Amino acid sequence: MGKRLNRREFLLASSMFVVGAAGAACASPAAPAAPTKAPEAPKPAATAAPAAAGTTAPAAVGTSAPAAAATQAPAAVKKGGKLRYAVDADVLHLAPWVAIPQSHIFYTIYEALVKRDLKGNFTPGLAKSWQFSDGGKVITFALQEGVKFHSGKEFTAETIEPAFKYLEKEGSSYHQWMKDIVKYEVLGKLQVRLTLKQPMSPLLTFLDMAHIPDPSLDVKSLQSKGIGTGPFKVAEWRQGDTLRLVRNENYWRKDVPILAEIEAKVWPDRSAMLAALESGNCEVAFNPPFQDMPRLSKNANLVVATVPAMCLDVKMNVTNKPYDSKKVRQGIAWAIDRQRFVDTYLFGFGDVWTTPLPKGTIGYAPDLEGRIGFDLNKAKQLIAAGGFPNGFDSTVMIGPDSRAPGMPTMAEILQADLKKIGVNLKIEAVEATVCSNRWNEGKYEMSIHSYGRLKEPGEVVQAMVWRKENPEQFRSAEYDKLIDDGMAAADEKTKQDTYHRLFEVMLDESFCIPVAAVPRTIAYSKSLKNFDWSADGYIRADGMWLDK
Amino acid sequence: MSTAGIQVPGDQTHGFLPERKADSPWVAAGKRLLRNRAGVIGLAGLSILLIAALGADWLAPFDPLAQHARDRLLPPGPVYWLGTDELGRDLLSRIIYGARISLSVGLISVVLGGAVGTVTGVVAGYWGKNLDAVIMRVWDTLLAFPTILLGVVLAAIMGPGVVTAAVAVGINNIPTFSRLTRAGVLAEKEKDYVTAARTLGASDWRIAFRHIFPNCIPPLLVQLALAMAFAALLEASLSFLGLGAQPPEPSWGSMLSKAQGFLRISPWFGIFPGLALAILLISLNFLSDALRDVLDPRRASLD
Repeated sequence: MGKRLNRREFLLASSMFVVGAAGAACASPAAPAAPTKAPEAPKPAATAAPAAAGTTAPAAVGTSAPAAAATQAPAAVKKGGKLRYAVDADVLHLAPWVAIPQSHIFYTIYEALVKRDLKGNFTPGLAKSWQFSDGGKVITFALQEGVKFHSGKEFTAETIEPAFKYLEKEGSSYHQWMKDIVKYEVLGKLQVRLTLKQPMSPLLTFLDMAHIPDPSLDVKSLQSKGIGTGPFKVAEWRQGDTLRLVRNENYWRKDVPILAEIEAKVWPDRSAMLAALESGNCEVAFNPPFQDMPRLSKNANLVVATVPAMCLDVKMNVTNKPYDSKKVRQGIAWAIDRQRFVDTYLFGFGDVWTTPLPKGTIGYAPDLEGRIGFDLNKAKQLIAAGGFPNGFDSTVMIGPDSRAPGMPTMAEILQADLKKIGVNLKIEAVEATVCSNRWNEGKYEMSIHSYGRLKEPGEVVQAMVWRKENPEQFRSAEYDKLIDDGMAAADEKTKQDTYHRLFEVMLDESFCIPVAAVPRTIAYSKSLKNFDWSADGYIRADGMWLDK
Repeated sequence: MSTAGIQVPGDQTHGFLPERKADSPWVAAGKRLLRNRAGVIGLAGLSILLIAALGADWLAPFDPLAQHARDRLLPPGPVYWLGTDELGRDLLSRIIYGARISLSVGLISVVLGGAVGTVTGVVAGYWGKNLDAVIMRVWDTLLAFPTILLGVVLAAIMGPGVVTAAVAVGINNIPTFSRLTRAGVLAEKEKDYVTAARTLGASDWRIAFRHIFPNCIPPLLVQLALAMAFAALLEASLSFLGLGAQPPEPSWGSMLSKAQGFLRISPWFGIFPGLALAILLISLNFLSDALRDVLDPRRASLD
């Protein structure tokens, strides 16, 4: 600051700065030439998955991955190789019973009793077969032979109870339903019988997520060492940087895994992560931002895929004015421009939702579509009928984008649309834990929220979203009964009917309004063959191999 | 009581050479500022932004909050001169309105920091002793907190928003203004005119605030321009972190934060708010440099 610029120096410096900046602004041929057009992205093939509603297992909600895998020309499988896998956030621990954003890593280290494929069918995992009895209250598993933990300890019927006790602990993501397993009986070395407090219709869906750790280890060792039975075992873990997994040579299934090693590296900056993928410095990038997906999908060396993982919804606290009026809530349901959210935030990589769960899940029926939508005139009429012809002022609480992608964008779209019909919405952004606490305490007027586990209603109920003591403070005897009946439904028909009625009540009462499916995204190199992931969007690396 | 014969800026009494029509020191400084190149550039940049902030309602081609759903992420063009953001809002209009937030946060924080800082600085410098020690240690403690951390704490208490950002930056400004004033007062209070005023029976308050303080103003003015620049930058940082202006308010910082994810596909979204911020910061820095030059008697005499 001490030296004064002379005129020439200043002009030179400033013109270089301006020219440079303007050059950078204009030198972007990648500018969307026709931004009014939806990006030509490989649309998540939600419709490609057969809707199997009403069958024994709900269909998965669709993904473009299997299609991509199917079109790959068969090539000779090459054994070995190191898969470099880029993740956008740190792997916080390796204990499988507490879900973290990087839980998808667990699918390579741990296994569960059953496995759910992308079509929604349950296939054998650590259990060879299973059988329900006593009206769904008892389930008997026959376990696989020759299964060993990475520690060398054998996996038997004796392992199940102590392993499940970890999953049952307070703080476990499975705590809510695990405590309903009241009795474990070892019937033989490889046979175990579980008895439930009451029939639990989504039990197999839960068991698919319940990864089994080596119960001979303490919590601390499991958190840092990650000992399971999976196809890969932890070789080295440098927290915040790299998790190196190597092939489990004693894996019980023959001929897999094919890869010799997986190196999961943390890239906190997602642009840097994508640069690494595009320059060939990694083969898989997990969770690329939506705005980059159209560009990545045009890259001849890459495959992009999505799987619907989260649902965004708008909640209203029904004990607060004006949301105590059903008409007002229905009005809000008609004021949500879902398509614009899908186009703006998801860049077309997502689906508009007007039912609580999408096509293919239990309880879904086509007659539920169209009960809510986007029509501001209708919204205005409903709000007027609810006693607010001149609109009203309200606040929408949102958490950070990192917690639930899309919340801030949805809030801004809703705010702009509601303003047109006289409703002035103030956006209140709060920190993630504050947001959760205020939901639970009912200290909000309106909020935007998201939830995962979209495969069947029972899962969402158990994930504490649609529970009886819901954050929207909606209380009704019919609603409670439907929740209970759905959870305990013994046969598929009853379950289907019960949840269909539940969806009807939810849409009519409009206290929790579906907006859109926010998918999980992945981009991987074409040199990675036989790509596979679960219905939750978690990779299953045992069959994958590298063609290079 | 009279202070005739004592050269005090702001005091129009010139006991010596009454026949000469000399400019007051402030007018002279103003004239020197207009002859100073950096000063003119700084003033020009600041004026443009001030005009944008004050006249935003007439100058902005669009409503900065209006979302044009069909025109998302457009590059600069004839309709939207600087392009549009991810919700189809006109960037030029948002930048023009954003100037309001940046400048008002700058102004509020400087007024807050300046008022508290100078008063405590004069008190500490003039009365000294224990009072000085207490005041300065309090400010030392405050200086130990990084400003962003202070912003985060305040946002947790007051809730995020422009006022929170302004208060955080203002509090952060207090120690600097206070120390600067105190240093000036310590140097000035030993001078003869203070003894003279005291001899004439002036009260301590009068001596401190009427005689000494005006002589400490020049370095404070330089600091004022710098603090404004710092405040604008800090407001942008806090908004970038989501603690400043809340959506849909068009703050440059929050625009930059949003643009971060779109740099590969629509760089103008980040470049133009960044340029606006750069222009404000460069202007204020030039201005503070120029002010230092023209207000410093030793440098001024070289002109």
